[in-house]
Parts: sequence; C-alpha cells; structure tokens
Amino acid sequence: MVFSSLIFLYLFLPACAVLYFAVHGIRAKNAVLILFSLVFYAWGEPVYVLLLIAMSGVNWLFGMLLGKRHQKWLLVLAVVLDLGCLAVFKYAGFLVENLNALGLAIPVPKISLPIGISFYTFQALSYTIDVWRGKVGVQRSFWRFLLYVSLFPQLIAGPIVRYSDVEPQMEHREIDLEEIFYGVTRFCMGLAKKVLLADYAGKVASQILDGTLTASATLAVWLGVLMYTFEIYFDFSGYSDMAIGLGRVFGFRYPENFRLPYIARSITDFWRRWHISLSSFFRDYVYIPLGGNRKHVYLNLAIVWTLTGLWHGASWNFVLWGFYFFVILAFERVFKKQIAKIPRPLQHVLTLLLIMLGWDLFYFTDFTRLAESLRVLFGAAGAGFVNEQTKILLVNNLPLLLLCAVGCTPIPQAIGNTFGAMCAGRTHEGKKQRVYVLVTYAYDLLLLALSTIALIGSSYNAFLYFRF
Amino acid sequence: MKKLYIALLCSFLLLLLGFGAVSLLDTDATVSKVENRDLAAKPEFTVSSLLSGTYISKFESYYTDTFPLREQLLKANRAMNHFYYYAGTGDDNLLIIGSTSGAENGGESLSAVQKAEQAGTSAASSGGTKTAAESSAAASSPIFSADKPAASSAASSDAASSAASSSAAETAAEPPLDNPDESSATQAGNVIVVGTRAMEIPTADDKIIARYAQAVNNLAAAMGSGVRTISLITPNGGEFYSPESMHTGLHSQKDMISRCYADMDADILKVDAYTALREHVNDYIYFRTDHHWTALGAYYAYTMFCKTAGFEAVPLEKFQKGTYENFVGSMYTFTSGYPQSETLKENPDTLDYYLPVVETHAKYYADATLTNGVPISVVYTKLDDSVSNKYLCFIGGDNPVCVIDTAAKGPVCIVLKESYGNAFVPFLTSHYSKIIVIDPREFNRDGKPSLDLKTFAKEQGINDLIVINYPYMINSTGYIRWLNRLVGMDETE
Repeated sequence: MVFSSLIFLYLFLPACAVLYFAVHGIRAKNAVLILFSLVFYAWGEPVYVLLLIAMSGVNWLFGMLLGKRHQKWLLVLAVVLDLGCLAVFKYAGFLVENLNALGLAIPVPKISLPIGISFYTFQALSYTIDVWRGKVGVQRSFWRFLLYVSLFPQLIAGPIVRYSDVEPQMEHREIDLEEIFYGVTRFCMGLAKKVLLADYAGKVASQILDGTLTASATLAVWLGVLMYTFEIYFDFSGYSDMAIGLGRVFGFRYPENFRLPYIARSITDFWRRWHISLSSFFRDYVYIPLGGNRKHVYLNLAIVWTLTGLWHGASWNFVLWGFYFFVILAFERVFKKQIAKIPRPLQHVLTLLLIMLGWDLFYFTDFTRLAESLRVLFGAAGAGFVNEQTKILLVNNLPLLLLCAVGCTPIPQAIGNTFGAMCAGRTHEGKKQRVYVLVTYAYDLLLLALSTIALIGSSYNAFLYFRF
Repeated sequence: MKKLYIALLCSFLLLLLGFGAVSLLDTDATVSKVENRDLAAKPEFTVSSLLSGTYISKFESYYTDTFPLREQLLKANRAMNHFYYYAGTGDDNLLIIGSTSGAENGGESLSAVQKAEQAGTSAASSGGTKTAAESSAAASSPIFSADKPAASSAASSDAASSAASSSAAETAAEPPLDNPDESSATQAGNVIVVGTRAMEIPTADDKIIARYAQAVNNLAAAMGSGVRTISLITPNGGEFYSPESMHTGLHSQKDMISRCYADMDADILKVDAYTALREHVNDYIYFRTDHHWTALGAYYAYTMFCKTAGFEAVPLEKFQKGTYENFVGSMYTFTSGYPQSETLKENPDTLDYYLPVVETHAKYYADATLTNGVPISVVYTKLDDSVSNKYLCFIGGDNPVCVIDTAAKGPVCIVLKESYGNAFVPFLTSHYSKIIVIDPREFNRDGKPSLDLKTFAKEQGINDLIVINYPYMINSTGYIRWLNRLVGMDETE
C-alpha cells in the first residue's frame, strides 16, 4: 500500500488509529501496529510478506545468539544471510545478465523485487551489527523485533531507522497530543509534497525525457531534468515527512532524512542533507570500518560510493551515478581551499548543476539514451537551444516550476516559524497559541483536500523509491 | 489547550472515518458523467488473483472510481489543472502534452451510427465489461491519461457509439498485446493546443518509416504484377498550423513522406497529397477539434490521386454538399482533462460532406468472409444529434470490411486505411465499380478474424490496391505489423 492512496487515507489509516488509541497497554498497541503493518505490506506484496517475517525472524535469532555468545562467525553468518537475501532478490538478474555478457549462457532468473527490501534489510542488518558492537541491547521478544522491522510508516521507503533510535519506544510510548498534532501536520505536508508537487513534476519530466530526445531543444531537456530533480526530492522527502509524521502519531521519533538538500554549497554538503539515514548507514557500517579518513581514504570513498550507487538499483547507470559522486567528493576533498574562494552564489549554482547532471545519470538506465540526453544537454545534438515547444512547455509549467523552486528553499519553513513566533510572542497566554494551532489545522485540511482532489484524478501513485 | 487538541484531532479522524464509512456503504455509481466512461466494477475475489496482486490493484481502481463525491472532486481537479497546465495570458491557450500512441491506434466503430439512424435510438445503456487494461487506464490522470489507448477514450467519448457498437467494445476489451511496444521507450509525438486548434505532432523514426515502406512493398509483391499498388501518405494539420519547430526537423511530415516514398519500389504509384494540401492551406482542410482532415482536405488529396492513377477528378461543384454544425472531435476528447480543452469546446468545428455523384450500395462486414452484411451509407446525411463524433458520417467510421458497389463503370479496388481513409473513400465511388475498404487493425491479432489478403484480392479480382495513411501510422510499429500480417509477413517472428 502507498500513503498517497485513497484507501490508505480513508480506510487503513483511520481504522488503524481508532484501534490503536482504543486499546489499552503497550502490548495491545504493539499488536495493532504489527497487524496493520503486515496488512500494509501484504497489500502490495501478498507473497513476500512471508519473506519480511522470515528476515525478521533470522535477525532476531542472530541477535539472541550474539547476546549469548560474542563470536564473530555468528555476525558474519548473519550479514551474509542478509546481504545474500538482498543479492538474490535484487541483484540476481543483473548479475546473470552481466555474466552472460561475458560469454556465459545462464538463464536469467525472473525475480520481482520485493517492495522496500533494500530498506528493511538494512534496518535488520544495523540491529544485528549494533548488538555485536554492544551498542544496543538484545531484543528478546520476536514480536517487538518484528514491530521494529515492519512498522508501516518506515517500512517501504525509509527513513532507515536504527534500532537504537527506537529501542526505548518499543516498550514505552507516551500519548502526547502536541506530538500527535505535529505528526498530523507533518503527514499532510508530506502528502502534499508527493501528490501536489512530485507527481505533477514527474509527469512533465517523463513527457520530456521519455520523448525523442534528439527532437528536443537543449533548454527543454534541461527543463525535463529540472522537473525530475524536483520530482525525486519532493517524492522522497515527502515520503519521509509522512513517515516521520505517522511515527509521531504513534509515539515513535524517527531521525530526519532531508535537510533542504538543494540549497547545498557543495556535493559534500549535499550528501549531508540528502537521504541522511542512508549516507549515515554507509558511514557507520562501511566507511568507518574500512578505515574512514585514517587510511586509504580515496579507496574507502570509492567503495562506499559504488555501493551507494548499486543500492539504488541493479543497473550500471546507478553504479556510474555513485562513481560520479565519488569523483566529485574526492575532487572537493583535494581542492578544498581553492573551492572555498569561489563566490558563494556561484558555489550554490555549480552544486545544483552537478546535482542535476547526477539525476540525469540516475534517470536513464539505457546508456544510449543517457548519451543522447547528455549530447542534447550540452548542445551537441537536438533541435537547437530553444524552440516553440520549449516555450509552450515553459508557459504550461511556469506556476508549478515556481512553486517547486520555492518549496526547495527555506522560505516555507521561515514563514511557518515567523508565524509561530508572532503567535507565541504576545503575552496573552494561550490565546495566540490557539490561533497558531487553528491556522495550522486549517492548513492541514486544505492540503488534505487538495491532495484528495489530485489523487482522484490520478493513478500515478507509485513512489519512486520503491525500486530500491 | 488540551481540549482544543482533542477536538481538532478527533474531528480530523472523524473526517477520514466518515469518508471511509461512506465509501464502503454508499451505492456505487457505475458511470462517470464527467469522464464519459464506465467506472470500474468490484473485482471478483479469488485466491490466485490475490496472490498475483491483480485483485488488489483492481480493487484499488474500483475504490478510486467509486469514491464518495467523485464527480465533484473531478470537477475540482479540472479547476486545479488551471494551475498545473497554465494556458498563458490572453488568448494564447497553449498546451503541449505527450502522446504515446496517437489518436489512430484503434478503430472507432461505425455500426453504432447505423443503428442510431435505423433503430432511432442511440443512447442505450452501456453493457461493456471492464478489463484490466481499461480499469488501469480508468484511474489515470488528469482524468484522461496520455497513455490510455486512444480508441477507448474516443469510443467512450460518445455515448451512442460506445453503447451500440460491438467493435468499440471489442477494442476496449482487448488486452494491450499488440500495442507498438518496440517504441514504448519513446513517445510517438506530442499533442499541442494553440488557441482554438489542437494538433498531433508526429516525430520521425527513420527505421520505422523504412519498415512501413517495406510493408507496402510486401503488399505490392503479394498482389502480383496485374495489380497496381497506390500509396497515399497524407500530412495532418500539425504540418501546416503548428509553430515552425513542430513541423521542421524530426517533425517535418514533408520529409517523412518523401523519405518513405523514396524507400518504396519504383512501380508503386505514389500520390503527392502534400502539394495539393499545401496549396489550399488557407481553406478549411483540417478540423481544429479533431485529428482528421475535412472532406475538403480529402478532396484535394483525391485530385492528386486521380492525376497519379489516371482518372479524371470530378469537379468539386458537381457534388451535392451538406453540413453538420457543432462538431467537437477527438482532439477535444484527448485533451478534455486539461483546461485548454474548454476553448476547443466553445469553438466547435463544422463538418461539410459531399455526396457521391453515382448511385452506391454499401455494406459493412465483421470479417472477410463477406457474410451477414449490414447496409450502410457511404455518407450519412442524418446523423442523430446524440452522435457527437460527426466524422463517423463517412462510411460509418472504422469497420473491419466495407464493400461499396457503385453504378460507375470501372475497375475494382481494395483500400487499406485507418480513419483518414474514411473521408477519402466516398470520392472514389466515381471511378470504381467496387470498392472494398479494409481496416488492417481489425485483422490477424488478439482474437480478431484472420485475413489472407493475397487470396482475398485474387477472389475479388481487384485491379488496384490503395494504401492510405497519415504520419502517425507510418511511424507505428503496431500498424506496420498488421499491414505485414495481411500478406503473411510478420517481422516480429
């Protein structure tokens, strides 16, 4: 199931909330969440829900075993099982195709990718490793462990929640009305980002980028890449907002996953702001164990970024995309001082251009079309710099373009903060706070209504990050 | 403060619950007025459909289709699209959207028209059954999706045709097996709206164009030396009325046509319809709200046809002329989810027709056995007001086979065509004693009847084979495949 569907919004979510708040005691509440989470997953993957349960069982078991005997082979076995599972379900086809390209003739296995496998495998993995490292306690209850892995707000598209983030909340959660209200607002904002911005931007992106690229003008393809840049951000960060918001409603605090990535001043900065739970996962479980900054740092970077690329999909263009960032990050490391002398506005512009080029690599899994797109982007092919089609495209999408652009900046947050400060600043206790809450509530309702209207006219629902 | 939070949160939950409860309890609507289509029906539950995931996806489209206040929400959606598809200032009314298939990817029925005239009733309730293909298209955005097979949207655009027509129902019900899949990575083109005119903009794919030429060569070879093969490729309105960059370069239909003709064998007669249409570009030769040419446009192409094929064209003034007002056609339907379509609706087309100068008797058939023919008119003069697609007045639209016997003394011909041919065929009645019109899309695929054109042509003793298409078809791998299959050539095998 996806959050941005009418069934989720008007059946699943209210049913889950009513039951959750109706039952008493943490055990019953956890049971409600597990039940709904399994239904949520089974809705899209009626068979693979068993895989999810099995994966949880295996890691829970290894956690118990590691708690009893601190032996390395147990950890290695657990990691091999987790990554092996990911390899089979995500990379088997890709691997065999490449072996065949080298001259072998193995039949290509047709395994459909279980939704969210990259996310929940990493969650389970982080738990087992953290148990080994002694960073978290062993979870003795299988149900509570299953709750951690399968909890529907973060199940299929992150953030990748560490067990240490939610360990205490498995057994004890408060019902805090202010938190729940914040959660609702955060959810509505995420929903609006996904449905009112990402989906519409995505339509424009695919209209341009799936077309005959050589018949397009340079500016049109840049517009396509820009729209994809907007789509992927609002889609993914909207999803994270919804996950964080839902987590708050049910008493969980998830880490932030995005911090306005497109206002970054460098690619290094960008990766501190983009999909934070993934980059910190690779930092803590790959980069630092490899030696981090202390030894062969560039090799470590190359490994981490190749893996990051590969994590995003079983296709060479993702590997290229990861390697692209390795090269830029290495460059920024070497020329740190020189880069610092570039005027700040230019730093922002250059960073954004590099990010957009990255998304172009990310978009095209077909290298022929990727090469075509690059040729048009740099004016070596296509129908000139700008033509009438491009102008019409620009006019049609001008309002959306402006809205998306503003949405990537700190402006919306600043407006909210200013309004909040104005309301809180007055002395009349409560009165002005009340205005703030009411206005926020009206805003939530407006976003929900607009999103529902957009959803009715749209079946374009699949979250982009499902593929990963 | 606590009370306020509780009140707000509970009302929020109640709102969601309320909609949820109504969505489960209300009697489901079955037809959408806003979209002119049947809504998805509740899917039947089976364990296998559950495990394969099809049950749930069907249930989702059913749920979306029958959501409370759906029609009102759709209207709101259209209002919202003024923001997302900004039309520009003043009278610009600009829109550009992608179109995967072009408006001609499936036939639109003619039998509906016929029944409409003879039985006097046209708006029967629709009995079409829902299919996976249709229900997936059903929930598409915004109201109408560019990915939706144009045939089903066109068929459902018009209550009469979707109600009575078997062939439209078939088109809608067929699985999307034979859609031009090889080009699925790239779009066939765009649809643009400029002011009061909407146009399809094809994009050339030279490899596919060469295959179309080869398909015509294959047809000619199969017919043998006794039969003349005549190819007529016509540009569409986009060539003459779109902004310059949309009919130059890879969008130049002139280039597409001449390259295609150059790839055809020397003994194939090639009709230069382009030049004739170009000369009359200031006349009403293309509709603004429909993707077809007008009968006048078809007439100018016919004069060039006569030059090429050695006939003497009947002067225009010799024809008796009639008119249908208020024709709002396929391009309106195609763009109806977008605010720009309103201008099209407010500025409908006028459709003129020219009656054959000789006596004609025509029948349509479901397949090439030519049994159980149903009489039709070559040009319908009394289409019911409920038939919104007035273009169906020409030989009743797209049927698998239509045979016209005329009082003219002359040879026998077969016409292979999509619906561009429909407005053209009536002019041929002055020169052929028998015209057999065949729609290649209706044969040799997905449970449709089979046809071996070589044998069929021999039996009928034809003299000419006329192949008439517009640029979307010469760029369509699906259409080329169907042409080839008529003579037992299937390049996909």
